[in-house]
Amino acid sequence: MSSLKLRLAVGLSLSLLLLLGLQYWLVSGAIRDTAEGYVAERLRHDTEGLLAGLTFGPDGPRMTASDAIYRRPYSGHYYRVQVGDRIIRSRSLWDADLPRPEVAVGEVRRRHADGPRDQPLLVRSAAFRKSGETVRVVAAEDLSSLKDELTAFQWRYALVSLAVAAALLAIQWALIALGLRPLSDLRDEIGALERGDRQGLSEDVPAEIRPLVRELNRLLGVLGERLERSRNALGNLAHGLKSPLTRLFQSAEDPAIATDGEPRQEILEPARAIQDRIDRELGRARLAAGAPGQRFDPGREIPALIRTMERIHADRNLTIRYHGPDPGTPFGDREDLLELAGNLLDNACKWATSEVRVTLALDRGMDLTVADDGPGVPVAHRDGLLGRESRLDETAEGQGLGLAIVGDIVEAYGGRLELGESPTLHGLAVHVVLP
Amino acid sequence: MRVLVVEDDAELAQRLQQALREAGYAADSTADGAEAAYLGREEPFDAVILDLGLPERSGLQVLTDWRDGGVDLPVLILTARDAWYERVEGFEAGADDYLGKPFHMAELLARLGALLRRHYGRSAGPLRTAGLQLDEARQMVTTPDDTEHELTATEFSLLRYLMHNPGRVLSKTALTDHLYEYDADRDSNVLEVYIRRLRQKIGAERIRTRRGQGYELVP
Repeated sequence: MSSLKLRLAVGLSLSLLLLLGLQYWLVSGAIRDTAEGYVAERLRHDTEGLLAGLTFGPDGPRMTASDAIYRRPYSGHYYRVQVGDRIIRSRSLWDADLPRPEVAVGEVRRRHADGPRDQPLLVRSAAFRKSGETVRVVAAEDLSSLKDELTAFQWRYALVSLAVAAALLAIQWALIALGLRPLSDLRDEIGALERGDRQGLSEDVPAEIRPLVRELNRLLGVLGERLERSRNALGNLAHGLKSPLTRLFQSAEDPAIATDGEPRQEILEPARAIQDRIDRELGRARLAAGAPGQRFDPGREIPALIRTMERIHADRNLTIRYHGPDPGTPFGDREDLLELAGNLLDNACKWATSEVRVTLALDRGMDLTVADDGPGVPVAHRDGLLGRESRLDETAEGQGLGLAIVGDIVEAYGGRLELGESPTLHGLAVHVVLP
Repeated sequence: MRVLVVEDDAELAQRLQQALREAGYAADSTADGAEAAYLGREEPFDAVILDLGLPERSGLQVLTDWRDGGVDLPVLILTARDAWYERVEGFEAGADDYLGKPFHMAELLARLGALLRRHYGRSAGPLRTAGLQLDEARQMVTTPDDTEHELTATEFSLLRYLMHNPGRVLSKTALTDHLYEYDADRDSNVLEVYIRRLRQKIGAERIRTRRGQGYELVP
């Protein structure tokens, strides 16, 4: 049983059912005892009446007191009086008899017995001495109507108990759900955290889970700081390496140092390799991929990126069209996704003849297509374009590198990258799907 | 053309100045953001090469201050911080171009040239005005009779500035401001000497003297 809710509900239901069952048993027992006590009391009165109505005539003992109820057959009220060998039975007994327990004088016994027509009887036997004779009086009464009423009561009681149990269980279920609400809220918040919709967890929670939330927030802070630190360290490393690299490039181009091409290439090639490697690895290390950071709002950032492209490629007279959501629907990390979109758009602008189209949808995850009307890439070369070493054209700087960085970002987000031909512009169309 | 180099790496700043001078620009440099902000606002520069990682005040802040203050000179950002989000921030702050380090000096000069050309509203290709065609890479001018004339560095700078502003009367002060560096010895008589030499190469009638006002390249 791994569900807290189920575990609590089962425990509470079991104790509730036990309590109500015990109550049912006690209450019906008490009512039955009270009712039987009442009948027994009446039987004692009857016995006294019978004893008083017993007269001793010349032809033996005779019963003078005899209510109509004792004369109607199977009326449910019976007696049997024994004086010596003489037995007087009520007419209501018809041809049946009552049990005859051996009771001593002054003794009273009470028992249940089956009477005529299977009537459940309460039988009271007592022995007296009257006029020098031992008189044994057995009086009995039918309990069936009492039992019927008791059964009816028990049914009612059981039904009410069940209804109460159901109501209490429902209330308990609701209370449990309410009590566990902070946990499900917390789960939602963690989901939002993962999507990057929020920076930390709300500490406005019940005291029981507050320490947990605080600890989570602390860990988040530590992770965020660590990411920030390593990003900064990498940025500084890049900054530090780039200036000497710049000097290396400049030295290689200095005619005083290298007049002919070969030694110049020998300096330039490893320097370029270092530069590419730094760019690639820095790009990879900078990736946040879900860690808390500033959010990417395509509706705001893509138009800004397009303005940037229009300035970078100002001499090309390119038309860049964008179709996507309005501002206010953020997705993913700003730095990562601007890097992704920037590389794709820059590539497209480098190769486009006159037009670039950007389409972005945010239905589930992010769906981005960047197409140009350039020469496109033959199917056979498309796979190689994404590889580490590839670089289609040395002059259009970093074509392959840009796509490789895009590939790293897509991989970090667990997404999909497809290269194809644009059906409308007939150049390369790069399609990126991020979950 | 006078260019301000804002760069905190002293050696790189020196190389940049050197390369810019060879390309016929006057180049001043500073490593301080606050000073850069002042110079860009008060001195008649034609373009700025701006590093972002500056001590005291960041390059981006300097750029924002200029744009807020109505300073519209062309700015080329030259930085090691070349992630796309940083580029977008640079352009949104008002940059005109962005070059990541490490860079090739030739590319920087080409971009600076294109930046100035666009700033003066000219289309791509060599600078052509008043029947003259200027080859900026070789620092030579071609006159309508298809003759090429070599130009000295100062003649080239002077002619380029005139060709960027055809039909405008440029005072001697304006010309010296755009041709000489901050601490250079500014002698207006020297300017007259250069104007005379230019006239000899491209034809005296092309540069008109407006008495008391200055010079004008006849369009």
